[in-house]
Amino acid sequence: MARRARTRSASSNTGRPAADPQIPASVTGGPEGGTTGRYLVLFREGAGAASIRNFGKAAGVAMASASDFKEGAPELSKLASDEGVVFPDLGVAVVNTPPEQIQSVAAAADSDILAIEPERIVYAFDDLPAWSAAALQPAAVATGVPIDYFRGYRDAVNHLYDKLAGTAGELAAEGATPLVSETEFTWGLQATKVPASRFTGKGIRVAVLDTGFDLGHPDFAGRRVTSQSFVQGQAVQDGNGHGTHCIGTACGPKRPGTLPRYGVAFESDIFAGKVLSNQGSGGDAGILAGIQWAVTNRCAIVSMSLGAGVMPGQSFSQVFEQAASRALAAGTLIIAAAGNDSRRPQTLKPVSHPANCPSIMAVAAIDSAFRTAFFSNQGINPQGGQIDIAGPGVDVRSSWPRPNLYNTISGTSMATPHVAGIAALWAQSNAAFRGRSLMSVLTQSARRLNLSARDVGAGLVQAP
Amino acid sequence: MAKVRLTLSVSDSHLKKLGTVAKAAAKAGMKVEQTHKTLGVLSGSIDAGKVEKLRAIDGVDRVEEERTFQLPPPGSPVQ
Repeated sequence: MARRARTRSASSNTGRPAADPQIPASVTGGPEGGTTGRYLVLFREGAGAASIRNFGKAAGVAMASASDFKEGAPELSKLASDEGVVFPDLGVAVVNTPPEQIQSVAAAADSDILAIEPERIVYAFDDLPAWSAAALQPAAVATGVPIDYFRGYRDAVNHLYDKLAGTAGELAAEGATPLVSETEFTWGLQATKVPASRFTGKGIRVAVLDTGFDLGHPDFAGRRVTSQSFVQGQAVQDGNGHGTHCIGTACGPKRPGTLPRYGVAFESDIFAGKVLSNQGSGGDAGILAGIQWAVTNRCAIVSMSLGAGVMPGQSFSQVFEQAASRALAAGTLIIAAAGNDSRRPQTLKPVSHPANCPSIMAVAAIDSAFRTAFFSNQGINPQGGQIDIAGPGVDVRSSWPRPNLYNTISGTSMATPHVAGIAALWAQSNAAFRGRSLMSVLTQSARRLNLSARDVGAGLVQAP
Repeated sequence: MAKVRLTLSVSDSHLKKLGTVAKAAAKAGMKVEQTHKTLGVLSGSIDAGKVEKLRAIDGVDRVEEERTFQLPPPGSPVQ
């Protein structure tokens, strides 16, 4: 459905683009492996029935409407070479016509044809769970048409849309790491649609509880930074690097000194809480103090790229769960790293403390090929031990304390501030997105991945 | 006696009486270092043998020994 809506908005202008419809090279060939020999013709949004009929006339094809077939689906296999069927609601026609014939019509200046594509052979999933097959049944009964038939057309239309929108192949085939150009934006920002977002995090306070921050980093000159150390005897100044990297991802600038852009919420207010020492160590008490500080300061988001391993079957901390639940009620959402203890495919470890609390979002890491990172922990334990969402966490470039300025590292620690920064964009987009409703919109808007929910939860976080 | 560091949460009914709970915890032998009002959490330390006394205090919901966290060294590829 969403794809249909996007198609509509993309071509809602009444003027006709001058460009020729995209006709794949394969149109000029005959039937190939995986195609039926028939062709799908996609019409522009708003192309009326008359326009489609005209196409039929010009191409010498007798067009029937699918809505005329009361007793069932049109039998496409029996289409004569000069016949076609129109699906008015989809703006698609299926024709059994030689492609050269369609192409000449499509190339006409006033053509309403957006694309022509060989009809692919689509197979039904054979692993549909019973409930799913049952749920699909009523539709088939109501129309008298086998549901597989519609599924095939849905997939074909989606495929056409992807081709037109240039997103085909974005979800790369397993095994191949696509070379994502990072000239302007890191792959993580691209994969989460941050560059296209009109939101900046302006007015949203983001607390990052970590090893502190390089307060003199040139990429953050002029930014509003509030900081506090909860580590005895150590100043906020980041003597480790981890905190500066995480703050960079969540809140880094629109125009860094050196491209690519790596930060999400570039106009957010930074709250740098040092709860881990320069040596990278800390305890529950300091982290709880940091959370209280963030809540007191009305931070909408707390990003915590930290965790302590738990055993399979071990329950979450009730103290942290209560604290997180009360923070949510006060409008502060805590987002935490799921942990890096797994060594896939052999070893799978459960989500760490405190990300395993039901009221804290647990973030898994994926790579630029949309695969679960080998180290990313899994939702093994019940009751809050699930993964909620995934973020970019392999080969992530961000800020690093001077003199290095930048560093590229991996971890669920890097995935977490992507989610935190994007949470700030959502929080800016609607003042109602706070606490639990902010958590909900993040998971609801996540991009579904072809991976287990045990590994990536609702999918890859997406910017509004 | 060995000291343990711990965190303690109060039940919802005692969220507004955190100070009272903190006083009772101190009386039971806890060195209360931090009091977090919104979260309803206290943290501090106590003699290992006195932890059970804390659990008996009216309004105390959970008592947990403090966990520690350790990041990998800054040079590690996985953080």
